[in-house]
Amino acid sequence: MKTITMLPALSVLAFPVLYFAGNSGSQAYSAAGLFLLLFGLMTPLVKKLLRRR
Amino acid sequence: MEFDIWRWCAALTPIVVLLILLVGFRWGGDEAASCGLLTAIATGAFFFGAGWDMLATAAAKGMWNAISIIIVVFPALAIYQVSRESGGFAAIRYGMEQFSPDKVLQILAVGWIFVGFLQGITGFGVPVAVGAPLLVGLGVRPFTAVLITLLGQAWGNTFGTLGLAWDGLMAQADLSDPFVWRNTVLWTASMLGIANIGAGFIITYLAGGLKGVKRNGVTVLALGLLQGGGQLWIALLNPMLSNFIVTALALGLMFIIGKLPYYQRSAEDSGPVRKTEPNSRENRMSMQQAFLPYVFLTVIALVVLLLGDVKDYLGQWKIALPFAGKTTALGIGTASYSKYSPLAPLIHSGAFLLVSAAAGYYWYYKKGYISEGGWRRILNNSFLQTIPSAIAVLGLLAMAKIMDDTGQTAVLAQGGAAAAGPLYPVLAPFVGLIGTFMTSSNLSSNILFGGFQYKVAAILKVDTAAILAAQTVGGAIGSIIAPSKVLLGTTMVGILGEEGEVIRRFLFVAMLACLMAGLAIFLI
Repeated sequence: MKTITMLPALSVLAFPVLYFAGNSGSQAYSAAGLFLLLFGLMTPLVKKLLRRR
Repeated sequence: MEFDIWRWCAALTPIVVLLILLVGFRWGGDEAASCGLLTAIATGAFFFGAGWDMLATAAAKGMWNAISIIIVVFPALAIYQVSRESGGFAAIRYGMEQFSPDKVLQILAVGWIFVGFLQGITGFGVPVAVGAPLLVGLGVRPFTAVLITLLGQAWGNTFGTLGLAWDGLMAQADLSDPFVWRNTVLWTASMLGIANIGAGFIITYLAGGLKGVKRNGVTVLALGLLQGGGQLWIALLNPMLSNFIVTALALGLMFIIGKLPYYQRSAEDSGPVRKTEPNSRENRMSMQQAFLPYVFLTVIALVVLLLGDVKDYLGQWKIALPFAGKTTALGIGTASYSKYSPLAPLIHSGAFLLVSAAAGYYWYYKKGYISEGGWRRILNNSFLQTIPSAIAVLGLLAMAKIMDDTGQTAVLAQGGAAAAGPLYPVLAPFVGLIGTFMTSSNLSSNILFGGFQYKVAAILKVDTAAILAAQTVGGAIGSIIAPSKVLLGTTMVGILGEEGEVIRRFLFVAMLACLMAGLAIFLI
């Protein structure tokens, strides 16, 4: 649970990755940035699912 | 790009997913945002030919836009926590009882008039963030407090915030013809005025049921006419100040109304108002002192925004990022920006709120209303409450920007226009509503769709002024169901996760209001 509470930080980390990868045209890093963002933003959803279990 | 029904359906999917999760499954905005974003990424990549780099750039732009909202959330929560910690809310409740024993009038004063006044000068969700906890302090149930503040701020979305959304609309359409400009003002101000009277009556109903409407109907009508009529008249002279002037006048008038013998008699109240217990310790503070952070907020906002020199001096510090232009496989391109959406932190509403919270804290601490170590509790609670809101706002605005940059938003609007044909005026307010629903901002909706509505009006040879008015009025109405604004309210009153329920309650109201505006334009 402690790890999950730290997950939103990933969405903050995603910003520089998205920004630099997107601007430079790097497809792989851009996809990684989007994954990072989604992973960070899914924290409340993960918490919801864990609470249900 | 040629219109394609499948592509239109694909573009609609992220909004449908978001609505189903929020309204159907009653998920919170923070829970649904990531699913909406994932869907927008998928449709952008697979149906609109966007590369990963384009999607990443759009998501980064959306996150950048989200900062403007997040820097309002934290200080708004801080100002709320300062009032809570000092016992200010209890003093406001006590003071309002002295102002008038009529609960419904108290709620109208805060939830309709004061919230409208805040929208006139600040915007960016501040009226909801400030008004909802004040109403809870008056004994209104948290859920109802959110509904009331959303209604109270809606009409001021176009000419409020010193006419920012109106300026956005003007920037997107050629209104050099004074006749068209004048008609656009007349259409917009008339429809907003009527919407505001409607909102006043719904607030009265929420506060006191039919009995409340019967007792306060004339007051609501008089204040609504003063605000609507006043805005209509002043907007023709100065759109920037029109909303602020009439809401300030209405605020003054409200205090006079409260002193009338009619309102000094107690009215039996029912409905959503919780019975509150008499206060003891907190009553040491006067209502004037309890309102101090909000007085600071008003004074700071007015000084900074109305004094051109102060605004120019503080506004010279801007933060902006360059963004490269990108193009999809379908040929939809985005512009390259050397300074994308500059943020001037010192003239931002967030800065006004932060300074007001700090000044309020200092005052209360000096007067002994806040105990030692209070600042730590205030900061800690504000930070913890900001996180879920920030997650939702980041996700929703990244989703909106991806849809915009990859052409999904434009396809949605084009499809609507193509299907509606001569009936387009009926549809026009809904386009504005979608823009605000997605971006939580009337200004952004006008920037997003203002140019499009202008072009459609020219192609279909319908009244440009009426269509532009429909755009911004639809955008203002959309603010009552905009997830980020709803989130601000639910976060502030501690009912996070009930955003879907709030949107569900207002979806029909918003649709009906847009339909009425559209029909009025079509028939007149």
